[in-house]
Amino acid sequence: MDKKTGVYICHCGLGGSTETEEILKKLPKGSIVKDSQYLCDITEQELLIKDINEKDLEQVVVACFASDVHRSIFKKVGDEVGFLPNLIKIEESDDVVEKIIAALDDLKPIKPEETEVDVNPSVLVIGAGIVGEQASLDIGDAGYKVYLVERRPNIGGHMAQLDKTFPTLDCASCIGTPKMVATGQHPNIELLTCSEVIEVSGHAGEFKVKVLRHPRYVDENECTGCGICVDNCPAVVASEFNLGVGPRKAIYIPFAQAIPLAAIRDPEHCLSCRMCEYVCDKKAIRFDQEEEIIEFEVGSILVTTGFELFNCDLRPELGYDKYDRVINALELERLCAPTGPTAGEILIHGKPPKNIVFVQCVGSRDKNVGNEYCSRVCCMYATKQCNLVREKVPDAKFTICYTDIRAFGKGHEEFYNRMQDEGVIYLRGIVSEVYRGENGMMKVRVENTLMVEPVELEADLVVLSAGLVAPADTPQLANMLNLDVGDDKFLAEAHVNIRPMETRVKGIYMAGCAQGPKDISDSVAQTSGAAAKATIPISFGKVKIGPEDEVKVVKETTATAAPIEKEVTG
Amino acid sequence: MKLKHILEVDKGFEFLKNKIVDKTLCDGCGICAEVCDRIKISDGLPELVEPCLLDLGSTECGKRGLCVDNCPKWEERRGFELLKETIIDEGLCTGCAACAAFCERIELVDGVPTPVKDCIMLLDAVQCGEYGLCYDHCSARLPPRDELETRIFGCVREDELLGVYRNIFSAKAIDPEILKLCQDGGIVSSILAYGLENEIFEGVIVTRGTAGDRWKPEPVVLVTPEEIASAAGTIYSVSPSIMGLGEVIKNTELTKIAVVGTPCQMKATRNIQEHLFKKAEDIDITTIGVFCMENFEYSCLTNFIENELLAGSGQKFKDVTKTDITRGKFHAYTEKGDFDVEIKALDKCIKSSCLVCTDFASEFADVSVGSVGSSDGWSTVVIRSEKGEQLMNGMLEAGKIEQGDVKIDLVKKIATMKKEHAAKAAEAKEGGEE
Repeated sequence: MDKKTGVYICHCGLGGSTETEEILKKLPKGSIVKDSQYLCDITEQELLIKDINEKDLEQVVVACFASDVHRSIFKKVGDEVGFLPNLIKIEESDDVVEKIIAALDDLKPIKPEETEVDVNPSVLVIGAGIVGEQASLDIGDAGYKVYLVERRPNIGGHMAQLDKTFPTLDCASCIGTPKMVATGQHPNIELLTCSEVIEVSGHAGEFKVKVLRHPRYVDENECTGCGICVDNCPAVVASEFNLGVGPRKAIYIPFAQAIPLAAIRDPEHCLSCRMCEYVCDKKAIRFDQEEEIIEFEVGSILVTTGFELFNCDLRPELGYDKYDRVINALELERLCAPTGPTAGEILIHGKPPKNIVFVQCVGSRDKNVGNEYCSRVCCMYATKQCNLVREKVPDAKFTICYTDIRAFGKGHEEFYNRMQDEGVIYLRGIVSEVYRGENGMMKVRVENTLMVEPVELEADLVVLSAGLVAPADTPQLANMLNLDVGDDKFLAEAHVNIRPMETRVKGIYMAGCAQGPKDISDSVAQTSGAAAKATIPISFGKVKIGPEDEVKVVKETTATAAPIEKEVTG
Repeated sequence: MKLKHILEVDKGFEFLKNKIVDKTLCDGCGICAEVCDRIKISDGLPELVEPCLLDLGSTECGKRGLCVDNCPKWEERRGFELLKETIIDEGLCTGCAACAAFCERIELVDGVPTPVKDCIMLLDAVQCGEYGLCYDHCSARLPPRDELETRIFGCVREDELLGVYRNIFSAKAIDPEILKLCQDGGIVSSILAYGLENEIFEGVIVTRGTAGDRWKPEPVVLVTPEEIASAAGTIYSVSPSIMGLGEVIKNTELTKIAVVGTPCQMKATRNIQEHLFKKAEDIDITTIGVFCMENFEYSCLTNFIENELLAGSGQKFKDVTKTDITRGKFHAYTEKGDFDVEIKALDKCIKSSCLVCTDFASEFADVSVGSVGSSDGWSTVVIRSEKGEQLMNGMLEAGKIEQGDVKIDLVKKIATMKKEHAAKAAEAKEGGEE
């Protein structure tokens, strides 16, 4: 340690003062250590610059509470003196002196090496659920090109599988389909379904993207979606869209309103009897289609990869795997939906259920399964589903076994009160076991925590309110884009409060459940914000980037800055 | 993804009714009524006299209900497993390739259907056709006879021996070119040539010797009348004909097709029409069946002809110019003369499925043709369907064939023989099993 150093400890987030002498002892002659109040303030920064110039400081350390947010604030300092302060993050529990001294040994000079680059006027949106659609529409409407990449054969995501949305009980198809159609028809949106982003390199303004397009075995442009191929296909398997509650063929259209409206062949189950090819008037079937790699460049990237439903098998005591009468909430949604396999008729073994118990917090707020967070939607969707089922089975009884009711969104509390008034029983208690009683009906064992007594409920249908979890391959995605993964296994934002749509990489943004569980209203609100963020550099035309903004191509096995191994095993 | 069976009744009497009784698989054996006193057999079929325990909410009644678990007709292993167990392993496979024609997971290896990829029913498929497309198409399986006849002919048979027919006569081709090459009266060749010339057929599927071996049968698709001569004459070995039908459907644009084949191949074609083409109405197939007493395994037949029949003559099977079966003898004609043997000597080469086959006169074809019942150089023609009648009337009017008298009793005699043989074989097989 031979450089003359200035140490500034910003106390707005920490409070108190520091024993500056201890630090000063470690530093060469001429160094200074100062307590400060608001270093982000322009006058304090001018004092900092003055100190550096007058005292010939060769390096500066700023210890503060939110170092990751504030890097750009010291740009003025860098411009004036030719180097940037080293920021050290201090938390309240830290021993400030110890942490600063430890950091002093490992200081590297930071030069303001920003260069200005042109911005490619296009955006890559990864994931075409309602969030990806809305972002693409916003960016497309702003006049910029959008590449919307979706892994599944169709867009619409989970929302397309819902019957109705809370709290207004709008028909999910009625509000979701127009968005899908608009996305499919938008002149600025290039839709790439059956596709996955496999490589990203470059930096904000100019990301090079490689997309792997899987064969659909059907020419999307020729296929009219008439379904004659489906009618003639002999092989029947469980439908993914209907969550296995209904069947589909080996060549299929996932659902009636699917966009793009084109059949897809499933080679795993196909017999190659070629009847589809034979009966297709448009000659749209392409048995020889192969996967292809598409490459393009974009200025910004928006990650809208959404969520997966918690795997209820991880709570074996709830009997999801064992009993037909235990289903998850999304399966019930497909049963309620008029577009579902039963055309909206709710039948369990041929009969409508009369006694339905909802089990809340399955996979949420549960450290045992590794998910400490609240999924934020289950209380309201269970409440909504009581309403949906009641419309079709008026004499059905409902009990919701909850931990706490979280009805914090607009109109949520009112909806919750209304359903309570309409006779839905909210029983505070955590379900410990679901098993089959002697008469074939399910028994739900729950402790009523308000009355402090064990209760046993009988049900002919048990619905598990499964929580939302990050898609299983989030670590790989984060790895590819050099992003961080949070403790909740969702993608980590730059700052949860003030930069919730930005990531650690300049030019890469995110929205919706990719960041963490949220309902449709919050997701859509966030995605329009993220879309605006993504178009800022494009509308400006230029963006400044530093060496740390570069996205390096990482191979699957190499470790990156993000602690990915931990996430994978968790 | 876990498949949930919550939508369909998957056990109990309701299931038995859906899967067995309503699908006319029930033979009224009564075992279900023996294991459950809520079931009685009435009019030969099981009927529920008191509510099924499982309907009452009971959870325990065997795996799917004792009635289902004990039903001999309930086959849980569908798809290729079922085909293998009930057809191939039982020696009932005719080698027609109906199973492999429309499923890339099956190939014929030495004439035997063999899985080359996992059957989708062994993966996670819910259904494939009805019992598995291969099993649905199999020529060894047919829907109940009355039902099939009503479907394809619009009536049931009055003649037990010959099946449904509109007309039967003896006939002979006019075209001297055809007569030069043909087996008997040149009728099949004439029909095919006439059909192709007049665009009644766009393609015809026939059996022809392979390029290397005149007597090794393989299905070929012919699209011009000129090609017909190349396939004239009978080959007495089992051919995977239906593979040819598959090729035409899968790889060509042809929609009007004629299939020439043995009775078993006609059955396979009918099964395919019923299952696969149910909705593809524009696939128009005309079936031309040949009379068939039995057929021979290719390798066994080759071995017999080269090592026994032609032994000492210095000739091989490939030197044979024509084979024929008439009046109880198998003939092999060569340049060095005619070699013949009592047909009995070939018994060891008979395909096992032929032993239990009762169909002599291709009872489910549109038109059946054979030598029995006609004089030398003439063929017997049995017109069965309206489609067959139109075709043959067209040929008569166009002067393609001439008509003669048929000895119908002779046809009936041979048909009776085949049916009796089959009955005996079936009896022997059953006896052997017990």
